[in-house]
Amino acid sequence: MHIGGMFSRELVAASARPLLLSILAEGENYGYALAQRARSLSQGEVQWTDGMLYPVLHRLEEEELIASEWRESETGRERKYYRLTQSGRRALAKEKAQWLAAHNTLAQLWNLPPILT
Amino acid sequence: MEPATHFDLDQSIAAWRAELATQHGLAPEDVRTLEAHLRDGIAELQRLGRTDAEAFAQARTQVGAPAKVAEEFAKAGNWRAWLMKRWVALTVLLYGLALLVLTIPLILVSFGNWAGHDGSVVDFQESLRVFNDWAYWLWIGVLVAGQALLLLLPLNIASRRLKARRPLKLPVVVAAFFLAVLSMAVLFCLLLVLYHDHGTDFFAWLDPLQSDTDNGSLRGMLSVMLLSWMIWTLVFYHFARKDEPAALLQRITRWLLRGSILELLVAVPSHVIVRRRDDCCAPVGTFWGITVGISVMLLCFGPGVFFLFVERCRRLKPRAPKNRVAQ
Repeated sequence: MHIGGMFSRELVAASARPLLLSILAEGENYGYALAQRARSLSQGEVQWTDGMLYPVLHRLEEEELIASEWRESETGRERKYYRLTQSGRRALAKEKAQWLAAHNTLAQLWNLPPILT
Repeated sequence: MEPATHFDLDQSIAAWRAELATQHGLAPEDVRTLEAHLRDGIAELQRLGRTDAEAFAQARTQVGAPAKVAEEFAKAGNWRAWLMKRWVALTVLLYGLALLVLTIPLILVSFGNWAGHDGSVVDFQESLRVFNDWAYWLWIGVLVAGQALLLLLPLNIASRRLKARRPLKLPVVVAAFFLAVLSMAVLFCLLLVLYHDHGTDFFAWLDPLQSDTDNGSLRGMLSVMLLSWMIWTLVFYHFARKDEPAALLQRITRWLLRGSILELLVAVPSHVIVRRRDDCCAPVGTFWGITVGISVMLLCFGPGVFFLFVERCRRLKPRAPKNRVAQ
């Protein structure tokens, strides 16, 4: 796992779950593209290695929050595509509420405007 | 100046995959996933103008050292889950083999020349005919499937993957089925001892349709079997609601083991009695009773054997990265 300037190792690990669920809420995707999307959204702060990304995806699959399927891509190579399940959408709503609550708590202390849910 | 050596991308990926495959901690599915990721990375770098060799080297670095990746994957437990699934398959295979190996000796002992008359003595050649009987293979199939389904609970316990109460329904239904078969076998053996070859006529009375006798007996037997299955399911469902999964598994195996011993205590003497008489078909029925008792008894050892495998699995640790420096 690459640690950028602002994100600590712990924060990268803790945010992996909501990030993956949120990216998959945009539509089904494969591992490499998920990592690229997280990297571009975070301006390079979040760089998942395979050793971190796939175990997290595996755990989400075990919890039936996401489902996967091997398919042939447009380039002819096989890829494992992940998609969000109904339980995953519910879990994402909970994650969103928790992260926003944490953000708003800190925002009050730091005199920043809260984010409405 | 040295000639430029040709870089074979596919060969390099194959060598990398082979190295990954030797790592403890990675299941075949993980290696497949990592290879797909590596190939995506290489394709991306090639689009940016890197050569094959450069793209491969950079993508491989991004994936990480195989030993380190394996260590991370091992923590997620995918590898152990895969090993445990393999051991479930091995336990089921051993059970199936035990049933096959025991078939002929059991027939020879049950129908040997010890009953004082040789009316229904079966020799080795005749005993082999059982393998041509579809009913035999159906019974073996039911037992093997039962063993596999019963092992799903210990597999989930060992993988710590139990969620809510959903997975507990299956072992309850499977265990209830085998207890229903044991109960049926006890009833069957007792009826054959009491009523000789007409023992099965009793079931015709229980035929819900009350039509012709032959099929009526069969329907009656199936009705009793179904009723018994439902009763045992309710009994185990009651326990499943309050027992922890491990305790329920213990209870299931304990009941099946005790049930099979009790059933054999009825079936074996029944077989001796009917064989010493001039009964025509009753010994076949009591022999079935014996096979049911032994099969279910062996079935109970499945979870125990599986947990021995799990213990072995827990002692297996992923190989530490070779290049790790002691801190």
